[in-house]
Amino acid sequence: MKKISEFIKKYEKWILFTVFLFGVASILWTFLANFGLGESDYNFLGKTKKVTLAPGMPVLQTFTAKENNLYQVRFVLGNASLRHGEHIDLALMDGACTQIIAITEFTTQPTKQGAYTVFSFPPIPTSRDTRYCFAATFFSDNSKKGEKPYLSATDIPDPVFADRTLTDSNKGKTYDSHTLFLRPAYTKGSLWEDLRVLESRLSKYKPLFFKGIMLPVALLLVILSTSLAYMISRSTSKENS
Amino acid sequence: MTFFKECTSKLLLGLIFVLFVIKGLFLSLLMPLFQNPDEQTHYGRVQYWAEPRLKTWKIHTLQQSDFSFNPKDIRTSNLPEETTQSAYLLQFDELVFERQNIQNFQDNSHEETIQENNWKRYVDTIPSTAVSGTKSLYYLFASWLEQLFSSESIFVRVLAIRLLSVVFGALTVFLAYLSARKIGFSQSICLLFTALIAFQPMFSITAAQVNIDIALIFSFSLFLYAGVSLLRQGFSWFPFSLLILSIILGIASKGPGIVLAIISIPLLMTLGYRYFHPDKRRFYWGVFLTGSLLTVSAFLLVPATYLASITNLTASSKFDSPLHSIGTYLEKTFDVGPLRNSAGSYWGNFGWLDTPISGWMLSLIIYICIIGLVGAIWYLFSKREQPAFLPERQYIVFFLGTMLALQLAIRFYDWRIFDATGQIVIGQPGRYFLPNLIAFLTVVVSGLGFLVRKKHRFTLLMQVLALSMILLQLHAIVNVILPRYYL
Repeated sequence: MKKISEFIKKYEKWILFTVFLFGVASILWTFLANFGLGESDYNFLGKTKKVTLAPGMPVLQTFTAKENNLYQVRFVLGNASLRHGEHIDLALMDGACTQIIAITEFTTQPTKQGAYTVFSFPPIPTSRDTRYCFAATFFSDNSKKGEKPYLSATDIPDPVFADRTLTDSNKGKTYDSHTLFLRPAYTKGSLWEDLRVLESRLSKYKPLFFKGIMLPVALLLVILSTSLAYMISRSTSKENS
Repeated sequence: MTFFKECTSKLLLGLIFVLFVIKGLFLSLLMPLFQNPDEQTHYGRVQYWAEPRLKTWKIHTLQQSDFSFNPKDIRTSNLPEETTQSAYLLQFDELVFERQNIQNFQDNSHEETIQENNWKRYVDTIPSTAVSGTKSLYYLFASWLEQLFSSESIFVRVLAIRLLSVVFGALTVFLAYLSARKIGFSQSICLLFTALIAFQPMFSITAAQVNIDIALIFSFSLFLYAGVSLLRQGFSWFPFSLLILSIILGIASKGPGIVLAIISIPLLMTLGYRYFHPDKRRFYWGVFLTGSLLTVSAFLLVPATYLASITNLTASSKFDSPLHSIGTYLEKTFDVGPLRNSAGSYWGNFGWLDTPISGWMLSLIIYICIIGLVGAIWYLFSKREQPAFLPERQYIVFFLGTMLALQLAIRFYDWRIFDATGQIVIGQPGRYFLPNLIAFLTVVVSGLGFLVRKKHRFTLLMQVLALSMILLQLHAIVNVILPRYYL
């Protein structure tokens, strides 16, 4: 114990800085792991509803991918704290909701990015103009008391979503031109291309002379913050000596 | 070695400032236009203040029956046309409080329309949310920038005003450093404390938006610095002048600035007691007479409309009695939920308070703050000698007093609105308490320092806190704000 304590005291500054670097790496890893370029040409407006996920009864949503390299389906999931014996299956299927393309089982709360829960799968290179079906099924061994998980959805048909159909198996109903708060996301095939598109999004609605520099400024921020962290870590040994 | 240490300290301080400014610039660019609380209204007011004195256009006055303000439709605010149309094309109503929605990045036509617009930049319809009773020094400075950059697009003008907020923020960070020096923290602790302030996420975002709050935060920070200077060195004209200046700036910035005038009374009485050493009887008489004189002066000199506006005095109550009203109000607001919401928007809830940091992060921060506050209270009442590395107890009392005064002032006004409407209309968004950031963090770290007892442990703790705050800020930018608005 004494040796460990002496070791920590001796290498305090390096331990601090290493933990900080680990923190920065975690932040960047989280960002890149959830990264996807969501469709942005529509929003979910007007009256909304909650589509409850009854055990064993899938909720299906068809949609048409607008680009190639479909990579994520994002949707709004509420009450997603899962207990022992419960899990949620998320599946991407063909347009007829028969053939499974990708499936993931979540036994704990799925990954979230802001309001959205993110369902990721290997990119589909030729997804443009192809119809897909997203399925969410909740399973529970217990008769779950209290509120069940739910998916947020629009409550009135919208011509913007003419290509989408929502099916609630629990209620045995199908809703044309209705949608879950579902936003497909894509990748451009490489990190570099993805960051280029992100830069173009960041540059939108900005003064002309600040277009194209957002990511370099962000990188500068990270580098300078790391330098500051290094100096902060170093001051330990000086203070103690 | 001393020279080297001093250079390193200056370098570190300089780096903190440079980082704060770069971070401020980045946040000013990152946040979409008007996606900060009430930013569209504040900018509309800036445009109103920038109007020429001689109005050469017709102003339409709507009758009460014709005017219907819909908070979900910005076009009913009657802000200047440029603000309204820009906000509308930027999908303002679709994004505000709607975390699942995002701006359209496919369509470039809106950006071109906004860049080259010929829309009116003045208010031509009353009532308008741009023309209100709120006056602030911030609007004066911002309107100068609006006029200076009048030939540029609205994107440039809003950015320039956001950068004005960054300047206020940088000055606040500097005051944090000076205050930490004044109360006796060591040089390295001062620098670490300055880093804590500079990277606090909500303070950073508040110092990068068009909003009068930052002017109030600066005024409070100046007041705190002047106060600790007076407490440390006794009466001196320079800090006393800063005190008066901070009170004037505070009142001229936003309503809660009046709190500074109220806090200054016990502060000056304390100084008076120390300077004159009166016996207790004379002192209490002095307090009574001074209090009476100030109260009478306030009623005679301060406009009745100002007093009525900050107290909502003329509104009739929805309750049987003040006690019933206060009891119901406390029941609704002193609950875990509302208190946690306040803490959330004090530490990290961005945009229109719809883009928060993770729940577990907030919980961890709250626990640390509670432990620090408990430690600070224990420090105040402990019979143990003051540790050399901690500030004297008088400073902790002063800071706690400032925090309490601001809490009471904001809750008092919130209660007055509740009393008149029966509903919590304003609430206590955490950002309203950001003016006490320096005081609050000083109390927390001092409390933690008292609990760890040893100087080297305290230094290590401050290092961990400073590094954690930097990480929290980076996380907020990269994983909370950026994905919300751009992915």
